[in-house]
Order: sequence, then structure tokens, then C-alpha cells
Amino acid sequence: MGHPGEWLACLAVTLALAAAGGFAVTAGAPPSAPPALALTVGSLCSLLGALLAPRHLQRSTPGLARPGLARLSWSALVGVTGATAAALLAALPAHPALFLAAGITLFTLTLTAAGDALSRRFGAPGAAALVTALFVTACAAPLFLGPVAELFPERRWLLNALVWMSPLSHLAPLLDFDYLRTPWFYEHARLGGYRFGYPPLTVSATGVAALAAWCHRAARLPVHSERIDQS
Amino acid sequence: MKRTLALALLVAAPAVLAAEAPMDPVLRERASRAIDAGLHYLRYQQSENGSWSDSVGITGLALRAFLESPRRYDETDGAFIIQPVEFMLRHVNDDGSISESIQNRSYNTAVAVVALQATGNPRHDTVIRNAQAFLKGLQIDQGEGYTPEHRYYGGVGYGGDERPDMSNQYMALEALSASRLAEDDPVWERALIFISRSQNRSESNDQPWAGNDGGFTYMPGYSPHGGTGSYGGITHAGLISLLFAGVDRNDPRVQAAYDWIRANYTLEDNPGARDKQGLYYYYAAFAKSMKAFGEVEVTDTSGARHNWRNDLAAKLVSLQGADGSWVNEFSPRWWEGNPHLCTARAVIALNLALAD
Repeated sequence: MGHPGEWLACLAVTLALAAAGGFAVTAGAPPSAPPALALTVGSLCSLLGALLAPRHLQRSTPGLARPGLARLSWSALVGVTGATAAALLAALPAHPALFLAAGITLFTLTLTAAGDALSRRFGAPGAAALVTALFVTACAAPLFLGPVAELFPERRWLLNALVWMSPLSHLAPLLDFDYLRTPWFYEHARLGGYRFGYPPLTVSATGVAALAAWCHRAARLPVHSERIDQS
Repeated sequence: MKRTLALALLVAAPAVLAAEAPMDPVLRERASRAIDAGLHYLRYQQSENGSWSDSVGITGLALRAFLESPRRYDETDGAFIIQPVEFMLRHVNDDGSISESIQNRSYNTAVAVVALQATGNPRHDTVIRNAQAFLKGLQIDQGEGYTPEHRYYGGVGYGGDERPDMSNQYMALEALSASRLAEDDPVWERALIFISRSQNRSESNDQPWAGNDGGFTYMPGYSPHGGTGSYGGITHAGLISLLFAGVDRNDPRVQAAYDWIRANYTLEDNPGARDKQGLYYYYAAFAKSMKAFGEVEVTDTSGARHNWRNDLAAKLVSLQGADGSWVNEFSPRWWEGNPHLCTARAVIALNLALAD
């Protein structure tokens, strides 16, 4: 490690871990806050699953056979591991644990594909930093965009769009968890006092899968310099 | 014997008359017309599915506004009463909750229980009983791994998380009371622990932040209006919660809350809240707690006497829009930009002011 991108990725992960740890502690209350803990585990597993993915998944080479299948297998492994960890740590019942496994799988798939696509342009370390930054920023969107939403409180679609931007808003409903009304988010995001809705399960699954497919497709397209070489 | 009875009646009559000091008749008439106009507005705003704003919570409040109005509408009056009942029943979930989403399950269920109970229709008894069990299950206690020492113990939250607050607590207790939960049920005792920990009264609140003005804050250690300050809507919710839980009106906790209300008596805004946030929530809670407390007049700390019914009716009549609706024009927070919600709350408050 020595590339600035890797340091940035490392810093972002550390910050994300600290924020997630803080959330898990304050969202519910000791000794048990199962949904908050499971949500924290789920979002961190998605992020770490993408960052720790084997190199050939982070930057697939044109000669790699079935890169999509390899990426899906890795994501599924991360999903099952994450859901198992959440089930053990947060005493999660089987039903939400299965949903969480699917959610982590989809997000890991999307993040690795996004990293792959970005690495074509920014190199692997830079892509890792970007993916991490984008994911953490998207998770925090209800916090820093909350004041914007307050200007248009009757535009329900705007509030929904804001809430749906965050990956946490797609993972939380899998756990039947209204995370924006946990104490910390309620105090700081200020969205808890307005009318919004979490995305329906089908919308979440379709949207995230479509994003993963788009990133995967983008990663397979030749970059500008490759197109020149081919011509 | 007859003489004794006559003497007793003679002595008691002035006291009874004083206690039942009537509302100003002109105001009463204006308030009655305001209720009719508000209900007329609601009736023509009703969705085809029978709801208001596609929300169980708002539908329950609007339905209650009709059922408790001076005209005493009921399910025999037609589709505008039957359809909202059916809308709520369509959102009964397997766990007993009555809600269209994972959000606000506690609030929605509580409001629906009160409205269904107000129909007086025994057909809804099973739904009410299951919803009552759901609300009881939401209370934070040993079942969730909390000990009585924890600041959340005994509280009820939104239902999709584990953090309780006084607003959801009061709604849940109102529903449990309306659905006639046994007075000796341990829920009440546990609830009192949380209620006491939300009051700025250090003698009965073991939290280090507790002040001593007697008012209530949103939840132990937090107010959405800054710090841990007391404010109107939640102090009225706290007062009525104490009464729901069976605390005598002469209890020092009740008296402290009432003293805060006397010291901050106003209907111009939600005292202690920012930017008139939660104004109609305040009016509804004000009417409920004043009615339950049972005083005809409130003597504020400067010695001025206020007939709360007159004041509330005059204020709400003055705020009503030309179309019969009410809306919080100062702050949309907590959904008060929604005229269906504010109109329902205003009519509920007026119904209580006019009730004997």
C-alpha cells in the first residue's frame, strides 16, 4: 500500500467503521439493538466485500472467463457470511437473515462492478477509494441533504428520493427497521418528522440489480485508449 | 330525610353550576359551525378507498373527529363512515398492528384502536384486542433485554425501532385506556417509570439532566426544540399520560405538570416549541388533558383566569380556512403541512371543548 487512493480508501473505511460502530451503540440501546446491529453489519460487509474482493474481480481482464459469475459467487459468499454474522451477533431470525443475505449480495455485486468500471479509468487503488467514498456518502445522504428536504416538506417524492439514495434505506426494510427514527438519526437527519416511505422490496431489488448490471456492462466496455489500440 | 336531601342539593347546586360553567353561547355556536365546516371539508377530501391521505393514522383521526362530533355520526350514517373503517381493517397485520407501512406502526395502531372503539361496533372487538396486545408488546421492558434502570424502560416508540418517546407513549396509553386494558395490568406501572423520566422534575426523575419546571420533554434527555426543555404539546401529553396510568390528580407529578401549564398558558403557539411546530398536536393534546384534568378555568401564574374551552374555541375558529380546513401555516414538521391531519385534530379538540 502506498498509492494515495489506497490511503484514502483505508481512511474512508476507518471512518465508516467508526460511524457504524457509533450508530450500533447509540441507535438502539444496550444490551440489545438487533436491527441496528444487523444493519451495521450488513452495510459494512457490503463495503468490505467490495474492497477485499480478489484482484481479478476488482479489475477484470478481457481474457477472464465468466467474470460476472465469479463476481456473483464472491458477492453471494459475502452475503451469506454477512448475514450469518448478523444472525449470530444480533440474534436475527431466519427470515430477515435470508433477506439480509440477498441485500448484502446485491450491494457487494454492485460495488465490485462499480469498482471494476472505475478502475479502468482511475486504476485499482483510486477506484477503491472512489467506491468507498461514494458508498459512505450515499449512506449519509439523509444527514446532509435533510435541510434541503425541509424546504419542500410537501414534496413527498423528493423526500422519498432523498431517503432512497441511501443504501441503508434499502437494507433497513429487509430488517423491518425504521432506522431514520432511531435516536441519532432522528436528532441529526431531521427527516423523522416528515412523511416519507422506504422503498418497496421489489423496487429495491430491481433498482440495485439494474445498477449492478449497468456497472458490470460499463466495466466490459473498452476504454478510449483501448478503442484507439483496436482501431 | 327529605329536608336533609333538599339541604344537600341546595348546598351542592351552586358548586355544581360553578364547576359546569358553560361556554360562551355565541362561541359555542360558532364552534359548532366550525366543526360542521371542518367535517364537510373532510368528507369531500376523502379518497375513493375511504382513507384520508392514504394513511391509517390520519384516517383514524378523521374518523374519530366524525364519531365524537356533536352530531355523533356512526356506521349507519353511510359510506363516508364505513369506508374509513374498512380501510383501517384492510391494514390489519398478522402481528395485530394496524398500519400501512413499517413506519409509525405504534402511532397508526393506537389511533386506529381509538377510532374503532369509538364506533361502538362489537364486530371490531377481535381486531381491537389483537391491536391492544401489539401495543402492549411494543413497551420496552425485560423482554427486549432492558432493566428498569434504563432510561428507555417502560416506554413505547414508533414501532420500527427501539427508542421510545412521550408522543408515542401517550398515543399508546390512550388506546390502551380506550380499549379498557385492566387497571392492574403491569403495563401501567412500567409506563409510569418512563413518563416520570421524561418530566423535568428531579424529585421523581432520576436522570441527571432533569430540571424542575414540571413540564415534559420529548424523551429522556432530548427535546426536538433544543436541549431537554419542556414544551406544550408534550407536557399536555405527559399530564394525560399520568392520568391514563391511574395517577391521582393531586399527585405531585400531576400538579407539577399542571403548574407548568399554568405558567405557560397560551393558545397563540405551542409554548416552548420552535416556529409553532406541532401546533395542532398541541391543541388536541391541550383539549384532552384539560378535559381529563377537569378544571373549568385555568388560573395562570399571574392570577389571570382562563376558560380554556372559550379560549380554544375562539382560537381554532379564528384559524379555520374559508374551505373549512385547518393547516399549520408556520411549520409543516410532523406532517402538519397536511390539512387532513390538522383539520382532524382541530375538530377533535373542538369536540372535546363542546362536550359536557
